[in-house]
Amino acid sequence: MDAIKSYLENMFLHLPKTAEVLSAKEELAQMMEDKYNQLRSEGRTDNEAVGQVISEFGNLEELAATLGIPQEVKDLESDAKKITMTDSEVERYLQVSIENGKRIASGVGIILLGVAILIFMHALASGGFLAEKVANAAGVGGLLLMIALAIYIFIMSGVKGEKYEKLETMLVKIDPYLHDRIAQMKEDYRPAFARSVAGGIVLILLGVAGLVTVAILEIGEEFAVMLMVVGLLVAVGIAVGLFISSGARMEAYDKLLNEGDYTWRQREGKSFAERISGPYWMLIVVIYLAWSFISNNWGFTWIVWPIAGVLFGLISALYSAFAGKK
Amino acid sequence: MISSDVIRGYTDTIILSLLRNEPGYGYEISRQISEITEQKYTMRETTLYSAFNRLEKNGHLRSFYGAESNGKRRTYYEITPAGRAYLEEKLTEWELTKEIIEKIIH
Repeated sequence: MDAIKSYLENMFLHLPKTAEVLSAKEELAQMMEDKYNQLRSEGRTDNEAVGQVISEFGNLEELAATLGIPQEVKDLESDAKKITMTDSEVERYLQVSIENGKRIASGVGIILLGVAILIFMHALASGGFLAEKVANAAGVGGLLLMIALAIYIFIMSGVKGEKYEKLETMLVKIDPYLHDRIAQMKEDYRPAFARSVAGGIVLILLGVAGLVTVAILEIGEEFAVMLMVVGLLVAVGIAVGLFISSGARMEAYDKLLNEGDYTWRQREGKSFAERISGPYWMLIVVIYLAWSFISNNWGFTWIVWPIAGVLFGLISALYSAFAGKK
Repeated sequence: MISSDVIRGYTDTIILSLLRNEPGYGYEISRQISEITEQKYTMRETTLYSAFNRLEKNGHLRSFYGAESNGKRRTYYEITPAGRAYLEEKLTEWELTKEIIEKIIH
């Protein structure tokens, strides 16, 4: 009887878990169980009964049309769109994904730190602690250095992750027991993931609250406000780091399980934010440097960064809201 | 098992006619088919389920859960008036089909 159950589990493994699919599975399981019991009561051995039930089951293609999922079944029938992964490959993939998540998180954190340095230098200058020219040089130099370091980290993680790029667009086929184990790992990780996201949001809110309080109460001069901007950037840096590193781990589980954003339907293309972020930030760097050099108003042009950050969030949120409606 | 090309066109008719007198559940129908045909035809589970699904969507069948003694719920299917009308239509069609084919090949 267990053999029949695992046969059916395997059949349905990669199908979307819609109510219709689940009820089909439940009813088919019932039919198979009934038939097995009948055969056993007629004196057939366990092996014979299992063999007959499975050989008379039919095929998934026939069901697919009635369940409205012909494309999935075709994808699963053809190995062209599937990658088969072994236990050790899956383990290595998870390890690389988790490490890469941390790498990219620290890269993004480093860039935000660079922006924080830039603004901090301007704060020092406006507070009269540093000559304006020295502040400009140190700030821009610090930012560019941080960007260079981050780009190095991004390239490194890109090289490490290159092997697994296929998982972006192809369905993963793994042993059902391994599938169950990864599903369990994902469930176990969920509370920690929720804590990371909540913690990140709280950090950002604290940073915003600090900035708003200082700005509204007009405590201190421009210097204090700029310090709070620096604080906010650091908070955003840590928060984004938390989002990325925990998100990367969740994403790795989803890819292996063909769930979340990585079901057959979703796997068609990279996310919008992923596709535009490279060119977008390049453009922002160019705008920032060009504007700064032309106007020579380094004390003001840093405003490009927070605006660009908010705009980026806004664009990707709007895009996913509209794309989701299609 | 015989080639099911011809039978496939009559899957719905077979199921509806077996449900004509009283409601039934999946395996019950499948067992009746095997018994009546003396194992000459066995309907596959996926064929049966697809047909139930299709007939229910078309309003020819209606399903309900029946309580079982072992505590498991089982889906029962019951023919609707529309299903009866459709069955009558298909039975007439079958008589005509049979007549035509017989006339030609004999």
